[in-house]
Amino acid sequence: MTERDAKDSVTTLRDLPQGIEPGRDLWPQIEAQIAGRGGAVRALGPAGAARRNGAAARVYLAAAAMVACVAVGVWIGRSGLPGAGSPLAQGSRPSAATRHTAWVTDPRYQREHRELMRALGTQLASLPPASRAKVMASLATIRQAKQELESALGKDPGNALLQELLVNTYQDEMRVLTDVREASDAGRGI
Amino acid sequence: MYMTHRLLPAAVALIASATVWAGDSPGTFEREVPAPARGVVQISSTNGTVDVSAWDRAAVSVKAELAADVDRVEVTNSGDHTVVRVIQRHSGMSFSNSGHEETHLRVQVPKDSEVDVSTVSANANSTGVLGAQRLKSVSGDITADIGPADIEAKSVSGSLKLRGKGQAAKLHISTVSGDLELKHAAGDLEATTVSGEVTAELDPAHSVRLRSTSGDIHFEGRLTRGADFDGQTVSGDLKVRAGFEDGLTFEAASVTGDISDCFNAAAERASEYGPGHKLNGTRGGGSAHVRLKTMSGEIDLCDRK
Repeated sequence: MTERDAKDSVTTLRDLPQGIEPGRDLWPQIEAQIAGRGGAVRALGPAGAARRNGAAARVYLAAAAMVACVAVGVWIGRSGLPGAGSPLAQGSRPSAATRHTAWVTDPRYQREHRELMRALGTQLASLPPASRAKVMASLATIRQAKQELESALGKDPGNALLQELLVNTYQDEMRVLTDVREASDAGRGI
Repeated sequence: MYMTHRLLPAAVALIASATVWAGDSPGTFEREVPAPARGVVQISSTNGTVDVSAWDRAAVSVKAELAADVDRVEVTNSGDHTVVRVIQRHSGMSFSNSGHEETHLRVQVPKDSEVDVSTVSANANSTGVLGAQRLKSVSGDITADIGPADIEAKSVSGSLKLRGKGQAAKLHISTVSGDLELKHAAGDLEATTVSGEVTAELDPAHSVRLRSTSGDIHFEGRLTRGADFDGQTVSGDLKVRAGFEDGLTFEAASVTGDISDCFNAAAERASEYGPGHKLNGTRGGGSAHVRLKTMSGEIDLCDRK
């Protein structure tokens, strides 16, 4: 590749020219071909026209089958991925910017998180008061960390470090909620 | 024949069961049951203290001074499992300080036993146990000797203090707000906390993973050849003093916090336009890998203990 080639290489669609004028007027030739094809169909008679229509129908059927296959494939792919419907499920190579969104929009995560949060009040009530206060303070710390990380990501969405820290913070929150549930169960079990 | 095999353990458990009401003599309890040298001893108590110590005998000894709210102590023995449970008088848990004397439970176990201690607000202390230990509390503090076997310790708000003698072990520790202090440990460590402070000393260390949200992390030790060290916080500081056997390769990254070191390497901007700093490099042979990451905490890395 020459230096000029490298300079002119296309990296995005925007690099392509927006319009290219043909070297001559193409319409007269197109018009003549349309007129000629109509005449040929007429010359074939009804049987020829039927054969032609049958061939066209087969082409349409093949196209419809192809579209159906693609649709089924996409549906299977989406339902098989974690977080179906999430940005992660919408592409085979998720970017760093979509990773945490995929995490928090995963229905399994949301369901588990909702259930843990719903039970949290009862579980906290069963803890010793000092522990309860510390757990609530820790959950507030996690919430604040999430907000700060999300705010920082808003300014720098591609930051892989922030992405990693945010995902880990979500995991830590789940761990705390699970630990509180276990602690509450342990208290009942003794 | 099959039924006999199925019912035998239950029958043994029933016969060996030593369920004793708390009124052996007023406010005290004492019992000893035979136990295999490498069995499992499970201990649970709600409040007060739990002291576990190891001895050379093939028996589990239980001695207790009981608070007024204790209903009974159960000691059961089935197969290789011995279970010691302090049962509260009321079925519902009450954490209010009613002025009763606390329960003090002392359990002696064969030194190679696996020990599983679970408490709510009771402080637990384990000494001399060589088998695996699983120690769990809600608000009680836990202290334990590190033996050659794995330790899994978990608390919500209680602090954890583990002390070793430089013998390699695998340590899995997590707290929510409790502090962790680890001294004279070696081997592998995985510790997670939200707001607790982590102070860990491992020499030598082979695999270390430390994570905190807002708590500070302070590590001191020596990394073996090929060791792996990961430290991560959101807003807590990371202070790592890691000597090495065969050099280390380090990657430190922070979004808004400062990065400093003891070998005069200067942190650089992580990207031309975005925020953040990074410090990457190699010391010596570069064999051990150190990765330190934080959002707003400060990172301080030194390649000397």
